[in-house]
Amino acid sequence: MNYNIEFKNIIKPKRIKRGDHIRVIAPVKSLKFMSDQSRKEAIAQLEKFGFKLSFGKHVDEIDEFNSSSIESRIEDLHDAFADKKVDAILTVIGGYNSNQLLQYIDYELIAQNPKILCGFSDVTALANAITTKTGMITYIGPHFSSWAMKYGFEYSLENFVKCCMEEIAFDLLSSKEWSDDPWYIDQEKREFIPNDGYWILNPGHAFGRVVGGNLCTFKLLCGTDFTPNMEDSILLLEDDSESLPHHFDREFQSLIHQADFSGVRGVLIGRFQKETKMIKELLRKIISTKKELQNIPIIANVDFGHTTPIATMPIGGSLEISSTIDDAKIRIIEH
Amino acid sequence: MSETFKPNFDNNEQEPKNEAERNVYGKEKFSPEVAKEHVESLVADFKNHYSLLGYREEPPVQISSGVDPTVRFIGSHISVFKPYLGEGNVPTPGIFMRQNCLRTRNADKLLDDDYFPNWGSYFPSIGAITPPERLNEACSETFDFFEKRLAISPENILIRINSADTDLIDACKQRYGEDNLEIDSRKPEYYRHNIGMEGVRGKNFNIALRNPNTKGFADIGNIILLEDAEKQLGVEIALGSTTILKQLYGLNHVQDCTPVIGLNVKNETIRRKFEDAIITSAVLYREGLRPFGQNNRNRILKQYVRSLSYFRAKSGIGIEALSRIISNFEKREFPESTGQTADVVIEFVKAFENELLVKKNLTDDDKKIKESLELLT
Repeated sequence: MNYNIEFKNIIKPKRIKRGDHIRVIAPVKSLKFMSDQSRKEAIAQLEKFGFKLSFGKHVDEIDEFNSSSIESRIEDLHDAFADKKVDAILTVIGGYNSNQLLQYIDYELIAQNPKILCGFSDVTALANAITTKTGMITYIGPHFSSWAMKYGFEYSLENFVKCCMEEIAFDLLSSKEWSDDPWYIDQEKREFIPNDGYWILNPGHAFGRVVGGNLCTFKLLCGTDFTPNMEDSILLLEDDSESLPHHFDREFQSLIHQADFSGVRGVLIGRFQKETKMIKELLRKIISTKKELQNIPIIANVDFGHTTPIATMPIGGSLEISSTIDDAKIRIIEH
Repeated sequence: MSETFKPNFDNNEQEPKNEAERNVYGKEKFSPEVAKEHVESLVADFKNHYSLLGYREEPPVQISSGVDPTVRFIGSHISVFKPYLGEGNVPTPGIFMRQNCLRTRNADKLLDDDYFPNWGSYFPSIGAITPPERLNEACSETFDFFEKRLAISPENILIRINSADTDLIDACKQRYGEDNLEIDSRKPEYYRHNIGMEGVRGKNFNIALRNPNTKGFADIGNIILLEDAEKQLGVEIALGSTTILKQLYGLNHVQDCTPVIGLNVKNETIRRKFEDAIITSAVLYREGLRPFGQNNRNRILKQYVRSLSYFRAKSGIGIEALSRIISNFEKREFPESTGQTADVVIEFVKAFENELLVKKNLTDDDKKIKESLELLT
C-alpha cells in the first residue's frame, strides 16, 4: 500500500526570474480551446513581466474531447523537462484527463531535470503524481490561461512571485476581494466581492507537507501508485461549480476513509464558487459530522480553487497553520 | 611513488610556537577555520594514493539515498561496494571512494543530559576494496598510505588482530614485527564484521594510531577479509578520516574536523550534542530529507531537529543566532551549497516550537523540550 512508502527526498526546483524561458504545454485541454484573444493577452502579460515563452509542439492539437492524444501530451511534457533551455513549465488550462498520462511519464527524466510546473484544477493529478514519484515540488497555481486576466490578477501574481521566484518562507494573506465571473468571456464586465477572510472551522496548529488540490481530481489518485503519502500532511481541497455541498461532503468523506488519512495534520479548503451555494455554516456543519476532523485545524475560504484570484501552493512543500478561533495564520515554509 | 614525505597541510598550518607544542606526530591542533581544508587534504591524499596504485574511483551516493536497504543511512562505503561483492566481481586492483556517512547512535540519547557522545553522527569515510587474492598487497598498500603518505612512523602504528586469523597475521607480518601486533587483546566479536549481506561475514584487524599526548592507541580503521561459506569475496579497507586527524593533530573530539563555529557553549556535553544535531540536520536537509512521516529516516531526522530547540534553550541561544550559526556552518562545510538550508531548518524549528505551545498530548521528550524553552523565555 502506498501509505507505507517513505517520502521521497524533496527536490526543490530552481527559482525562476525575469528573463527566464517558460514552456507552455497542454497536458489537459488544448491551447486551441482558448480564444485567440485570451491567448494573445496571456502571452502579452507573461512577456511584459519579463518571461520568454515557447510552446509544446502539440499544444494546438485538438480532438473531440478538446484535448489531444496521450502520446502528444506526453511528448510535450517530456520535451519541456528535457530541454535545458526551459526554466519552468505552465499548463494551458484544466479539464478532466491529465490522469491518462500518469503511467507513461518518465519520472526519472523529471527528477533529473527539476523545474517549476504550475497549473491547477485537473493538473492536481499531474502535480501530485510527479511529487509522489520524484519528490519534486510542483505548484498548484495560475495556468498559462490565467495570465490573460486583465483585472484582479495582482494577488495571483504577487503570490506566484513569492512561491516560484523567491526563496524565503512567507505568510499567505487573504486577498482583499475576489471574483467568480467568467472573465475570459468579458474582461470589462467584472464583479469583485470584498473578501471576508479565512473561515476558521477548527482552530489549532499544524505543520506538514502539502498535498492535494482539486478534490475530485485528487481522489482519482486514491489506491494508485501516484497518490501521495498523507502522513504528516497539510491537505488542500477545492472544487469547482459542479461540486455542490453534498458532493463535496461525500467526496471528502471518501478521502477520510483512506488508510493514511489519520496522518493529515491540517486542512485548507479553497473558496467555493457561488454556484455551489456553499456557505460557512453549511461547511461547518459538514466538517462537524466527521469525527476524524475534530482535532485538526481546518481553514476555509482560502484563495485557491476556481474563483479568482488564486495563490500558488507548493505540492510537496511545507506549510504551517496557526489558528485561534478568531485569527488564522498560514505560513508557506518551503516552496 | 615518492618515498619522501611531503607535509600535507603546510599551506594551512601556522608554525608551532615551539617544539614542545608539537605532538608525537610533529603536529599541533589546528584551528576550526582550517578544519575543512585538513579533512579535504587527507581525503585527497587517500585518493591520490590509491589512484596511483591503479584503483578506480567509485562516485559517492547520498547518505539518505536508500541504495542499501539494510541500513537507514549510509554508514560506510561498504554499502556502495556491496553490488561488487554480490557479483563476486571486485575489479583488479580495486576501487576506492570517499563516502559521507551517518551513524545515528546518538539520536536516541540527545536529550539525555548524562550522555556524552564520543562520536559525531556525520563523518567522511574513505575506503577501498580489492579482490581477496590481493590481501597481502592490500595490507601493504594501506600501511604505505600511513607510513609514506602521512609520514607516520611504524612505532606509532598498532595492529589489533585475532590469533585465529592466521592469513591476516601473515599479511601484517610481511611489514611489521611483534611490537606492532596486539594479539587477542579484545573480545572475539571485535574481530568479526557483519555487513548486512546474507551469508557474508568478515574477519578483520584494526589499525590504531598512538595517542598523540597520552599513553595508548586508538583505532582509526580496519582491513576486513569478506567471505561466504564457499569462498573469499574481497578485502575491504575502511578508514576514518576524522579519527585519523584526531590522532595526528591531538584533537579533543572527532567533531573538531567539522566544527560548528560560533557555538560558544560551556557545557561540553551539551555542546557536542548540539554540534551533532546541527551538523546532522544540515547534512540531511541538504539531501532533501524532511522530518515528516513515521518512517525511520524521517523520524530520526525529527529527533535531531527537535533537539535543536532543547540545546538552544539549554545554551541560551536565540533563534536568530542559531540561524546564523547553521548558515555559517553550511557555507563553510558545503561551499557549493545554495545557502538555503539554514533558513528551512530554522523555519522547521520554529514550527515545532509553535506546536509545543498548543499540543495537548506531550511525550516525555516534548515536555522536556517545552520546559527548557519556557526557562529560556
